[in-house]
Amino acid sequence: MGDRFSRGEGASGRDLFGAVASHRRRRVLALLTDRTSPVPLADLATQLVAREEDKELLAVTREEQRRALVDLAQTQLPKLEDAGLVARDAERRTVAATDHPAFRDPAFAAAVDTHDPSWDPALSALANPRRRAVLSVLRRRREPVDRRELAALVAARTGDRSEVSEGSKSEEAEREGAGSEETRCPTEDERHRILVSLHHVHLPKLRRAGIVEYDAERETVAYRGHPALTERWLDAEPGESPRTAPSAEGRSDEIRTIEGREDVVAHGQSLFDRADEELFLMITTDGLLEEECIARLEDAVDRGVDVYLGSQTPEVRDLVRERTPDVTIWEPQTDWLNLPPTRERVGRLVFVDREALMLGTLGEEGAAGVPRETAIAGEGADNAFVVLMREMLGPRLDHLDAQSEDFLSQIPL
Amino acid sequence: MTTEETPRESDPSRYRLRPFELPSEGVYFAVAAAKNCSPLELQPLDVAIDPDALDALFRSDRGAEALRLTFRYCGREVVVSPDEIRVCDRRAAEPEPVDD
Repeated sequence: MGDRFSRGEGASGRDLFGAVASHRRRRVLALLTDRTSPVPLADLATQLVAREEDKELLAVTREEQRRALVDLAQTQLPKLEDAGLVARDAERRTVAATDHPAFRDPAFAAAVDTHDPSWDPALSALANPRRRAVLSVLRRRREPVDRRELAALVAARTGDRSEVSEGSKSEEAEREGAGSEETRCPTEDERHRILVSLHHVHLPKLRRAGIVEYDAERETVAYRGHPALTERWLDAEPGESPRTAPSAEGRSDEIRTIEGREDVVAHGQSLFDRADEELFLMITTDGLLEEECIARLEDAVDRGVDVYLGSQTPEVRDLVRERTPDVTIWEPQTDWLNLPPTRERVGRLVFVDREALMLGTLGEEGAAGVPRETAIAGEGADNAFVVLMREMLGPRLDHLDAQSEDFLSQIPL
Repeated sequence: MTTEETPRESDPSRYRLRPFELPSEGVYFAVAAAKNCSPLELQPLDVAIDPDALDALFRSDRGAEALRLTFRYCGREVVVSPDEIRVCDRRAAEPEPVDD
């Protein structure tokens, strides 16, 4: 029994988005995750009808229950089981939610709790790695993008990130995977194929879901967004879907090293996205604060997260103050930013809900005068690195509220 | 697998799917070839059929060998089978005989 409910890891590459792209399946999951023990199928069917029809359990007719039972057995549960989200016990005729890591992703849990059918197309749109790549690219652009340029950007991502070969079982990945393994740099033909697939498949799909506007005449695409979209999912490796999220890899004492500015930025931004309560940031130079970061800060503030941003650089503080007035801005008063005495200096620090942490350091300037950046990251409330930093920063974090009070009062608002 | 039919007068243009090509891809390339234009000049396939659903239907792990799917797109009749796409320039679409 034990292992039957712990097969989450193994099923992680499956198509989670497709599994939750049906409001009925989301409702089933919501019912199952509420329960601690396996639920008899018959009970599940009755509850499902009661919730959907918004009536008392006793008011569910036998016929309604029977129909729901058949649909569960034939369609909905196999889909959820394929995705590794539920496990059925054929003999006992029960079903239970697994401990799939996706359930610990707050954004995934929120999606499961949203039974609005209008989310179906959006989640279904996400079920494809190429569309996630499209959205990830578009999300960064404020202006409509020429579809040819979009295709080139998507192709470049596909090229250097093995976009479709991550062992994903989504149908496209399954077929494209084998061929794309060694072709890291997209050829003209690949770019063309991607462009054509955008025109015929992906952009219309995203348009139907209300996520983008696609003007086939002008050949442009613009991003509109959707509440179902979480940045982290868009940037997720294709096979992983929501698994990449918080506690998935965050378990235990692992401390990761992240090399290179791009990956540091990407991880930092994924941390921004998962903040539920508190987001504590320190950024040394405004060169490190990209447009995209600011957009995510806005999102975090909109979600009701308390955002604190510290910087000794006035440009950073002014920029953030102007763009996101609800962020609490403070000026580090000590020189503790420059922790390491040598050439390496702290570039950015991201601390989320006091349980996930990334500390980026800037090294010597490389080509084009951009400093080489590396970071260490740890996750989980009992992660050694997180514990250490929480101990070091804890008092300062709490003190910050006091400081920011009078700090804020000095600013004419 | 399938017995080759003898070419008829109105032999439809055939497009063999490459090993990792999705049926949806095959459809727009096949129709573009039949109409002798760029696939970008066709209206999106999405207006005729849900490409994701089409591809899912033909996923190889679901025993789709005998499956034939016929629909109209860009004024053509398109017949999708697991390994090829046929495009016919016929007005009235008779149902495709399933012969295996």
